[in-house]
Amino acid sequence: MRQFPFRGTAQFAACLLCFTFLSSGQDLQSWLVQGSRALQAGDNAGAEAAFRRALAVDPGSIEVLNDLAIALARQNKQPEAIDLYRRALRIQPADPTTRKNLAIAYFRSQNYADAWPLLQELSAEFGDFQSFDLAGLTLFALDRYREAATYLERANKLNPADLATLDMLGKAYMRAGNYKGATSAFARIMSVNPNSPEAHVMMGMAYDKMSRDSEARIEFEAARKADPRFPGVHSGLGQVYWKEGKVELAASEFRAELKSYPNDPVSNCLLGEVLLKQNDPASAASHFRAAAAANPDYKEAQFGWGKAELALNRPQQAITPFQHAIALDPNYVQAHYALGTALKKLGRAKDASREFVAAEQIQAKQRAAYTKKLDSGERP
Amino acid sequence: MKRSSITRRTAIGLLGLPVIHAFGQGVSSRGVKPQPRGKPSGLPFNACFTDVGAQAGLHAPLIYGPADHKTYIIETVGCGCAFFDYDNDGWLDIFLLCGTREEGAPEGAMNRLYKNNRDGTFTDVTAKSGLGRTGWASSVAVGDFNNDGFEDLLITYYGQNVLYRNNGDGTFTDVTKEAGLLHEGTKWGAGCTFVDYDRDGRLDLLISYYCIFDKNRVPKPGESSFCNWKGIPVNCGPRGLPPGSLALYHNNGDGTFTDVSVKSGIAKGTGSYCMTTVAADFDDDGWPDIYIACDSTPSFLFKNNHDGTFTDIGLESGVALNEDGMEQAGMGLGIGDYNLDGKLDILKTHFADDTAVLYRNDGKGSFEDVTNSSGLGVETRYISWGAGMFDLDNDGYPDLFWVTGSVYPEIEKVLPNYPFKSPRILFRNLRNGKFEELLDQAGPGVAAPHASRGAAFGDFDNDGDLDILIMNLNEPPSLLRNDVRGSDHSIKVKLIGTKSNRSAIGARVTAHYGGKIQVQEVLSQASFYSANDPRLHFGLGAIDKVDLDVRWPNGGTEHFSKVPADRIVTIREGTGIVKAEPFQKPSKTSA
Repeated sequence: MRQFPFRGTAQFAACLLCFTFLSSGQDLQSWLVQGSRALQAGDNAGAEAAFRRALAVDPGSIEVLNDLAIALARQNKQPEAIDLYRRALRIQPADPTTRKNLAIAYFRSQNYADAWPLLQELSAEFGDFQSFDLAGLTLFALDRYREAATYLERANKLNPADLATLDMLGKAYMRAGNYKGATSAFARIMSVNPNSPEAHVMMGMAYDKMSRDSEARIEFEAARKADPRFPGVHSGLGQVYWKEGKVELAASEFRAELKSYPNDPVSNCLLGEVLLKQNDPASAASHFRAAAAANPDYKEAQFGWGKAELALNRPQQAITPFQHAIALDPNYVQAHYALGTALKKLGRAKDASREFVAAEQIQAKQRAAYTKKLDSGERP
Repeated sequence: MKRSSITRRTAIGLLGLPVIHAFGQGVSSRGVKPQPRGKPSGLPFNACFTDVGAQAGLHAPLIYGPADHKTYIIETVGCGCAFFDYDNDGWLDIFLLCGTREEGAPEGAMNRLYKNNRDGTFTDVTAKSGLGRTGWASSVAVGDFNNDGFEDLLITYYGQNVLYRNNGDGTFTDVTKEAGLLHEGTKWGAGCTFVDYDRDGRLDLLISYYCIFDKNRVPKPGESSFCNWKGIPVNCGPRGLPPGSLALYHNNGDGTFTDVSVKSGIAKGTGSYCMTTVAADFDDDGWPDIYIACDSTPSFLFKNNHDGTFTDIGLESGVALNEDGMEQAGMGLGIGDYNLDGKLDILKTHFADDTAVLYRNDGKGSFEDVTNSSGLGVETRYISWGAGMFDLDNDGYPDLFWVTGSVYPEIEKVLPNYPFKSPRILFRNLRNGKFEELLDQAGPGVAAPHASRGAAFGDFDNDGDLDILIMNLNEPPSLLRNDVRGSDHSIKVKLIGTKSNRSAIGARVTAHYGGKIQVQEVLSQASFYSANDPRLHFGLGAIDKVDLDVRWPNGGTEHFSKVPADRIVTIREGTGIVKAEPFQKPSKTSA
């Protein structure tokens, strides 16, 4: 995490005499100096103790509240830090430093919903890199990728050399489905660091999404050259081969990925699919199981696992993964139908029929929705 | 995703999740990845196909919309063809359907009848026959609806379907109106088949309608971004267009038909884009059922209830959708017994980026999708149409063949992997429930690229193998002459009904040879919108005698022992074998 809260000590020192705690000023100052030194030395607990003494002297000082909150935040005591920032804001609601620190604390405690309004205001008011960057990251975390990209673009404009911002910008574009934007962001990273395996991997993914398969392959190959053990290099290349119908090449890349990352769900799942196509359901089942274990919400892995069990003529064992896949996605046509097939094999014709009908009805609804859109002249 | 922590690893992993099904284009295309091709078996394949269409005199191009672009779906679907013996001389003649163009038909664009000259060539007898109609023809069914001994024709159209009575003198008469088959307005007739569904000895008629198409209401390419394929604007449909319907007509025995669609339950088959129709006894209960390949919607299997009604059991029997429950772009149908278990299996063809599907009949009213386990999953490249499940090399095991061709001529300029013209597909039966695709071992006629649609299988030169007639869009047809090498035997069985309908449509022959059994039925329509040689062809391998069990459409059975191979055997119901003509010597040089 690159964002650090703004400390209040310096401001405090600058206008120390302006404030009203002259009678106890001597004590307060020494605690503040002590706390500040401890903070600089990385002694966060010591800093906390000193700032607490200072706060006891002047409970209404927003500077002291900020400093203590920083010491607490550095010890991952975010809830207490947040309380202190809130106290400070009750005293001085418009204080930009406190608002920014509170936003950072919210962000660090993964309370993105509360962080966002503050960051939106701060970005509008100050238009600084940190506000834009944090706002972008917060929106990303809130799954608002298109807006996240807008803020991260603004941050990037103010600090073009910040590769971490560019990285998240590219990912925000990816999630927003703006693959052209993503390639632009990753290209900017590569202009600074041409051998970034991650940038090549992400660029490869963007091209893959745009069905620019040969360019995707080139990027994944570049990533492999830069760092063959980088996560996603082989998996990404395998997916391009898979898409191109080069199933055996794809399988060897998935296997290479699994050598470095045995639990990688994507490689396990797609290798399972290859093995299923190669009529090796026993091996396929083990890879699907591994994918599902690594990511139980991976519906394709659950479905593939069930299919492998079916191919092994073990319909009873297929039921649970199919049901799991349907629970993850009630409109999962293939899983409904395959569950029906398993139930039919188990002699449960009525239950099977219900699943078959469900599979068909989902598709009928999709057809009807398509027709409606076509009739209305609506654009996708 | 509610992010708990954004790390490089999770971002990559989640972005990389595969998408198995994508919806949002006008046709069912599943983005299926092909199965890996195994090592070639190295086994010889004794059939070799050469396109002798031009030498045989089949010169007229089969017009169907513009050649280089397709504005409307009507211009893309194409039509069928037929091998049938219109003059009962024992030699297959050729009937080719033809389309037109929106701006007007080019000269000579019409359905054509070619008479077999018995020397590998054909003579265009269209003018004399009266069959030379111009329009958007779709499919053809062959059957003797009036039991007068001559095969009649039903042709479906975008417009008005036409029933032609064969007058027995080389001419045909349009009897649509007298037969009661005129309908109001313009309908898009698609598949059609004669079928004696009530076993009264008279051929009834089933017609499928593809969709409701009004060119004034359908967006042109580029007018709606929903009408695209892989992001490229293309003609719109069938998705988004109102689906067609099904109609069943009962033969009254006096040259007229009565619409029994509602009474029979056939009218309940709604919501699908119906194409090729096949009437065959899939559950082997002695009564013909009806299977209809449907495009981008569930296919129908209507079980015959033996009381004049049908029930759609497609979904529960496993042939409405594929093994993943997905709708496919069902177009062509091949029916046969590929695994020699005495049950009729189904091959159905589909769009590009999808496989054809092979359904194995388990004999208990249920089918299993064995596409991948049989090895068909290796082929996903082309849009596939007319299909057959026939023993092409006479080794005793039915092979699989289908023709291909895109519906989007505009695409190949941008995506060269999706050519408009593409080769024919042949899968050789490996005799263990699996198939092997032969990419270039089956002769130049198979490898040649065309935009093909209908295909009819039959032995036009009576030399004991199966040749293939193919409708090519805006080109003359292909006539793939099969020259089988080696010494394997075969037999053809021609059936003539007496109590049953005279065409013996629905008759079932079980051949017993070398410890194997193979079942076939006489069909009025199969492949894509086409009619095959009604003489049933059994390759026998090294066996030179065969036992035949015939079950006639009316239910009667007859058994024939040790019938010598290498001839065309004619069996008349109740009389037995009335003719056995040896095959002609191969006619390689005659055309």
